[in-house]
Amino acid sequence: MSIDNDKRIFAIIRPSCVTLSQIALAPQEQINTQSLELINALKDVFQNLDSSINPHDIISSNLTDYIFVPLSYLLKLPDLSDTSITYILKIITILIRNSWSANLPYALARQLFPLITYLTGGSPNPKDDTEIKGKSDELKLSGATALQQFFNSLVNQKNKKEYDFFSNVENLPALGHVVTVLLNFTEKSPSCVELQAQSLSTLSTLYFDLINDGEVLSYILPGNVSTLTKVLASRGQRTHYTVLVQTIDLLGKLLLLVYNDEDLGITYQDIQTIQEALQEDQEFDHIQLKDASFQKVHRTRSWLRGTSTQVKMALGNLVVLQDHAKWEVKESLLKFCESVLGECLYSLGTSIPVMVKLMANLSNSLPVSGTFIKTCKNKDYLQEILSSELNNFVDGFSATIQSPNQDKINMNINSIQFLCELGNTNEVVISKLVETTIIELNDMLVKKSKQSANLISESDTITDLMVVMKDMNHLSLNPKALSTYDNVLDASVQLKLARMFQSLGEQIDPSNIINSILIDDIDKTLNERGISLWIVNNLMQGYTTKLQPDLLFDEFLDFQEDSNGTQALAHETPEFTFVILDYCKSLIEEISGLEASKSTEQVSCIALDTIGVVANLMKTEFEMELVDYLYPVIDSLASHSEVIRNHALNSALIISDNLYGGSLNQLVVQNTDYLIDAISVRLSNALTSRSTAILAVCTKLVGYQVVQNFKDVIEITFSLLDYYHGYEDLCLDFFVLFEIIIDEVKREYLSDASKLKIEDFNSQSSFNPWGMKNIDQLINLLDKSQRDIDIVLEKPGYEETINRVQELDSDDEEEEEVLTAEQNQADQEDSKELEDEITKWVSPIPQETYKLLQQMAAYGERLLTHPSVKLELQILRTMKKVIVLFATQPRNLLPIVANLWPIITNLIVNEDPKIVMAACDVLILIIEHSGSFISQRFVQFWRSSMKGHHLFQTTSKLSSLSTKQINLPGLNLKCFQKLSAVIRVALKVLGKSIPDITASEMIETCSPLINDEEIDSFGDFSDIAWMVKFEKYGAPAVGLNEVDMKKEDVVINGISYRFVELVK
Amino acid sequence: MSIVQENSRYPIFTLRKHTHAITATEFVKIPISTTSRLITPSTSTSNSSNSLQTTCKPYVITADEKGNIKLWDLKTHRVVKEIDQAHEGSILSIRQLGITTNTEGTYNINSTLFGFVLTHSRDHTIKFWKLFDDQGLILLKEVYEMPVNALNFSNVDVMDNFLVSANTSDSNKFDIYDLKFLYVESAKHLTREFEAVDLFKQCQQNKYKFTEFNIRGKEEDDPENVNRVDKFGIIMKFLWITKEILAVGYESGHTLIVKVDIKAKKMTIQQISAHHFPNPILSISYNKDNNTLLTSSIRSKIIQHDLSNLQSEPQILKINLTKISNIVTYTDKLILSSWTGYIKFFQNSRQGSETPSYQEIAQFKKPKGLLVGNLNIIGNNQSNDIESQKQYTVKPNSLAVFIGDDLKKGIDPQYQRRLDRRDLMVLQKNFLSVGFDDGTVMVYDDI
Repeated sequence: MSIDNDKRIFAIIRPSCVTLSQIALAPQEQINTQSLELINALKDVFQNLDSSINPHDIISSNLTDYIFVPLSYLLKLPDLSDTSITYILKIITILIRNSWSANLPYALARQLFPLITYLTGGSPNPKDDTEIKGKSDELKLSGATALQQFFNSLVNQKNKKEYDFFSNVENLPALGHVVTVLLNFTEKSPSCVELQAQSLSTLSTLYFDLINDGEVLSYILPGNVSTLTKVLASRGQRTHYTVLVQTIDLLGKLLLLVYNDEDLGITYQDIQTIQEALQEDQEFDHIQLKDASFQKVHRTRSWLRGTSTQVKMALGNLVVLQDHAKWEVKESLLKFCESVLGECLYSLGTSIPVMVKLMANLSNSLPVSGTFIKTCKNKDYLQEILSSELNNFVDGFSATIQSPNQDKINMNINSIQFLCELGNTNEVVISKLVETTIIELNDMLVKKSKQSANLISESDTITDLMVVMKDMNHLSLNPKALSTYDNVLDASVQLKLARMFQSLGEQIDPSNIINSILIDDIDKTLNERGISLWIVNNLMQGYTTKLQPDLLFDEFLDFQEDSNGTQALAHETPEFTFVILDYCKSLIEEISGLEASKSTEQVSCIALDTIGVVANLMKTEFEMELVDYLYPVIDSLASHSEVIRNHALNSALIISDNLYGGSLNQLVVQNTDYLIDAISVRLSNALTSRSTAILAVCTKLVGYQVVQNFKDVIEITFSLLDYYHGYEDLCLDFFVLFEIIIDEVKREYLSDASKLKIEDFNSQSSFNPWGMKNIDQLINLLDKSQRDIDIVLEKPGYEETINRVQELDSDDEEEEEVLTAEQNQADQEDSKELEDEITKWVSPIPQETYKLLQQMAAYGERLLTHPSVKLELQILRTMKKVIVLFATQPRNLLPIVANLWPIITNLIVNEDPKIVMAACDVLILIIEHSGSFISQRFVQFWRSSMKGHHLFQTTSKLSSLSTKQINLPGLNLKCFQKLSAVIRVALKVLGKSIPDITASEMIETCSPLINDEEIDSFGDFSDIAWMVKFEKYGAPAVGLNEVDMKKEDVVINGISYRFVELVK
Repeated sequence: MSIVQENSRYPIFTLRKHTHAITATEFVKIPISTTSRLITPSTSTSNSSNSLQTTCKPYVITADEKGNIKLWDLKTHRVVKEIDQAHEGSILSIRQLGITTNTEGTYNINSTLFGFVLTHSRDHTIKFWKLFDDQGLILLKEVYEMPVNALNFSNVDVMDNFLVSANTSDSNKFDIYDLKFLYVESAKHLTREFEAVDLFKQCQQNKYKFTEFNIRGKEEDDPENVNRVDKFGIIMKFLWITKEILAVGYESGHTLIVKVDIKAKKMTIQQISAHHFPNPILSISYNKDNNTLLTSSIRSKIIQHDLSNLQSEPQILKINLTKISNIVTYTDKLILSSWTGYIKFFQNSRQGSETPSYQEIAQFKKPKGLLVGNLNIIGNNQSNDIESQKQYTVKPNSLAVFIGDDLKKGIDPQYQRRLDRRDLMVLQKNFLSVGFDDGTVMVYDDI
C-alpha cells in the first residue's frame, strides 16, 4: 500500500471520476439513465482504473470510497442500462480485488453480496426467469466475475478468522439466490462459453474455497446435481468441452464433499445371512450411518436413501459423454468415476455400478489403470460390484454381438475385457463367454450360409499342382488380414473379440477351459468346432504371452540349478497346446473328406492358424512335432481355396522362420520323409489330388534321390491305376507326377550327356555294314595288318557277337564228347563272358530305376486307350520324355518299342489333331532311337494306315484341285507338318531300308507343305524330294518380287513359287 | 475309393531309407540318453550289481539284404545311426544282449552284457556291436566278429551269455557258445560249450520211433537215400525260451524242445513234434504270457506247444493263411506274416480255455501295381513266369514286436516329468515292425 501509487492512480482516474460524479450527483430526475454520456463516463472510469491498477496493487480505502461514491448514487437509480451496470460491476470487481479483498468489513459484505447478486441476476424469482434472461451476457459475465472476486475476498476473511460469511444463517437465502443465478448462467448460456466457464469457476470458489462444508452444501445439492447433469447430458446443444470438463469437476467435487463416506461416518457390514442378502433394499442394509451430530444434521439415513437414488439417476445420464470426441472430457469423467469410487463407495453405493459401467466403456479409448482398486477401502465390496457388473455385460453379450452396430459390439467386448482385467476373470465367466460366442457366431454362420450359395468352385487339380510347384520358392503372403469370420463379423469386432479372449487367457490358466472346450465336442457341428478352436487359439495366445517373459528367466534358473545338481525346471509348453494341435490335425483330416464350403474353408484356416501359433510358441521345439503336424500345413498349401492357401502359407512361413531360417524350401526338403509317409496313407485311401501334388513338389525340390525312398508310394499309385483307371483326374495327376519323376531321373543320370548320341545306339542297319560306325573303323577294317579276328572279338557288334555265341554253341554240340572237362569249363566261361557282354548294362540309369520307368511306361501304354483326351495327351508327353531315357539301354528299348508301336501308330490316325501331334512326337523319338529295328513296322504302318490318314487324303484332294497354297483349318496345318516330320525323320533314319517307291510315295504325300530347307533333311531321299517338288510346283522363281507376282503363284513358307511348264 | 481292403489295418508310419529288401528287424532298448542319472542302482539288495533300475526307450534296428543296418528313433521316425555294408551279405538275425523281460514285466538287465547287439549274416559272420556307452550315448560300434556257418538260412539266438548257432561245418547240427569273453578279461576266447549237437542222433540213441518216416516208402526202394527224408535235415530256426530250454526247428518239420544243462554239458530232449512234417519249420515264437510255443511252416496251420505241460500233445491251430514266415505272439494276440504278402492280426477269443481260438481281427497287404518293369529283353514284358509272379506281392520278410513292459510297472513319476513328451509317448506304446522286400519298414504302434 503506497501512497505514491494511490496518488498516481488518483491522478489518472480523477478526471473521469469527476465527470462521472457530475452525472451521478445530479438530481435523480435529471439523470438520463440511458444516456451515452453516463455510459462513456463509466467506461472511462473503468478503463482508467483497469489500466492504472495492477492486479496485485492495493489501493487505500479513501481512494476506494472516492471511486465508489458516485457508483452508489448511480445504483439508486432505477432502470440503469445493461451496459452501465456492466461497467459498474467491472469497477466493483476491481475495487474488491484491489481494495476490499484484504479487508472487507462484514457490514459491507452484507451489503455488497445481495447488491451484486441482484445486479447480476435480478431479483429472486424461482417461477419466472424472464428478468435474468433479459440481461446481456456481457453483464452476466461481469457479474459472475465480480461474484467470484467477492467470494475470494470472503475466503480471505474466513482465513483471517474475521468472520465466516455463510455460517450466518441470515446470509443463506442470498446464497440460494446466487447459486440459482450462477447455475442458470451455466445451463442457459450455451452461446457464451466464457460466461459458462466463469459461472462454474465462481461456483467452485463458492463451494470449495468458501463454504467447503458438505452439510451446508447438502441443502443445495439436488439443484446443483440436476442442473449440472443437464448441462452434461444436453444432447441438443453442443456444449464446449472445456465447460464439460469444468462441470464434471464441479459435480465430482460436490458429490465428494457431500457424500464423503468418512464425513458421513458410514461403516460397512458384511451380509451375514442369506435372508439379509435377499432383502429388497439390500444396498442399504449393510451400511451404517453415524448418529447425527452438529456437523451432520441434514444428512441422515433417509436423506441418503432419497438423494442417492436421485444422484444415481442423474449420473446415469453421463453415459452420453463416454464417447465424447475430446479426450479431456473422458479423462475428467474417468477421474470423476475414480474419485466417486474412492470416496463415496458406500454412500453412493447405488451409483457405483453406473460408475463401473462408465469406466468400462471409457476403457475403450482411455488407458484405465486398476490402481483405484488397490486404493479402494473395501476391495471385496468393489469386486463384488465389478463382477456383478461383468455378469451383466456377459449376459448382454449374446444380444449385443448380433447387433448391426459394430461400435456397440466393440464397446461391449471392451467393457468385458476391462472388467475381466480388473481381476474378475473366472472360469465361469469365460465358459459363459465361450458358450455364448460359439452359439451366436454359429448362428450367424448358419444364417449366412443359408443366404449365400456355395462360392467355392473346384478348380483344375493339374493347374493347382503346377501353381504350387512354380510358386514354391517365391510365395509371398497376401497381406490381407488373416481374419476368418469376415462374412459375419466386422474385422474390428473380430479383432476385439480375439483380444478379449487373449486377455482372458492371460489372466487365468486356461487349461481346464481349453480341455473342456475341446473334449466336449461330440454334438458340435463343424462350424461350432471351428469357433471353439478359434477361441481356444486366442486363449492360448493370451496365456502364452504371459509366459514369454518368464521363459528367459526360467532358462537362466535352469542353468544355475543344473550346476547345483538340483532338479531342473525347464520351461514347459503347456500340455493343452498338444491337445490343441491334435484337435487341429483331426479337424483338417475330417475336412479333407468333406465337400468344400465356406465353413470347411473357415475351419481349415483356423486350424492352420492355430498350428502356426503353436509353432511360434514352441519355436525350435516344434521340430519334434513336424512328424505329425507338418503335413496338414503343406497339404493345405495345395488347397483349391486361395484363403486356405494364404493361411497355410502363413503357418508354413512361421514354422520355417523358426526352424529353417525362413526357407520354405528347406522345410519341405528336410521333412520329405514325414510328408511322404503322410501321403502314403492318404493315397491308400485314394485321397489323391493334393497328395500327388505334394509328392510332385517333394520330387521337384529334392530330386530323384527322394523317389528311391518312396518307391512303395509309387507302387500305391500303380495299384490305384489298376483299380481306378476309369477316373480321369486321378490318372492325370499320376501321369503329371510320373512326368516330373522322369524329369528328375534325367537330371540325376543324364545331366552330363545332355545330348544323347543317337548314333551310338543306331548301327544295326544292314546298310551300315559290319557294325562300323565311323571312318576310323573303316580304315581299321581296310588295314590288312589289323584285319584279325581278335579285333572283332574285342569290339563285337551286336550281330557279330550273337553269331559268335551260336558258333560256340554249335561247336559244343558237335565236339561235346571229345572235349575234356577243362575245355568245357573254359568254354562255358567264355560264353558267360559273352553273355555278359550282351546283357551288359550300358545305361547310366540304374537297372532298378529303369524298371520303374518301364513300369510307368507300361501303365501309360495301357491307359493310352483311355477316352480322356487330356489324359492321353499327358501320357504322350510323359512317353516322349521316357523314350529318351529308355534309349540309353538300346537292347531294352526294343521290346518296349515293340509293345508301344501298335498303340502309338494307332493314335497317329486318331481324329483329334492334338493327339496326332503328340503321338507324332513320340513316334519320331521311337524312330530316331530304334533305327532299322522298326523299318518293317514303319513300312507296314505306312501302307496299311498312315497313307490313308484323313489329313493326307484331304490335302491330296485339295492339291489336285488347285495348285494354290494348301490351307488347312486350325491345328490341322500344324498336324500335317508333324506328320510330315515323322516321314522325314523316318526316311532319314531308316534310309535305304525303305523301298524307293514307298519313299517317293511318302514324299509325295507330304510334299504340299515341304519347303526347301526341309528337303535336305530327307537324308538319302533328298533328291527324290527335290524331284517330287519340282514336278509339282516347278523350280523356285528366283528374284520374283511382289510386283511380278501372279495370282496362281504359290507362297510356301515365305518363298514364292511359280509354276513353269516342264520341258519334256 | 480306396485300395485298402476292408478290415485292413494300415500301419501308423513307415520307415523309408533302405533301398534293398529288409531281411531283419529287431527292437532294442536303450537307456534314455544324456540322463545317466536315470541309470541308478536298484535299491533291492538281492541281486546287487546285476540289476539296474533303468528307463529304456525302444529303438528299432533294421537290416537289409546288402548288409546295411540302420537304427531308428521311434520318436522322430528317423535314422539315428546307420552302418553301410555292416556285413557283406544279407543279415539274418539281430539280437540285443543282456536284457530280458521277466514275468512281472520289468527288465532283467545283465549289466555286463547290456549294451551289446549282435548281427548275424549270410557272410558267415556274427558281429558284436556296442550299442551305447555308459552315458547312454548311441554308438553302434563294432567290437567283435566271429565266423559262423550261414549256409542255411537259420537264425542265431542268444540267452544271457549263451549263443546258439548252426555248427560251423554241418548245418544239421548246432553249437552253443559262451560269450563271456565280451566282458571277462581273462576269457580271451570264445568258448564252445557244446559242439555239433546232433539231436537226430540222440533221438536214435534214445530209440525214438519216427513213425512219419515210415510212410515214405522203404529203404530198399531208394538205397541212395536220395529222396528219403528220414533225418531232420538242416536247422531252420532256434529259439531260447529260458536259460535251460531251447527250441529247434528243422527242415523236416520237426520241432524239438530240449533241456540244456550247460554245467553238466548235458542236453535232454523234452519234446519232439512232427506236425509240420515234411514241410520245413519257418518260424518259432514264444508267448511268455501263457507259456506256449508256436511254430509254422508253409501249410495253413500253427502248432501250439504248451511248455508248462510238455507231456501234453501239441495243438493244431487252423489258420486261414499259408506260408507263414513269421509269428509274433503275446498275451492273447497273434500276428502272422506270410510270403503271400499278408500280415494278419488275430485275437484269441477263448482265452483261458485250453484250446485257443484265434479270430482274425485285421489284416494288411502292401499295394503293388500289377504291371511291372522287366529287364529281360527276350520274351514278353508281361510274361507270367515265376519271377514276375512273385513280384505281384511285396513280401514281408521280418516281424518284430516290442511290448512296453515299462508301462506295466509304471514309469516313476519323477522321471516321467523329466522325459520329453514324445519320448514318453514312445514309452507308453507297443510296437510292431514289419520289414518288407521293397526296403520299407512299416510300424504299428497301436497293437
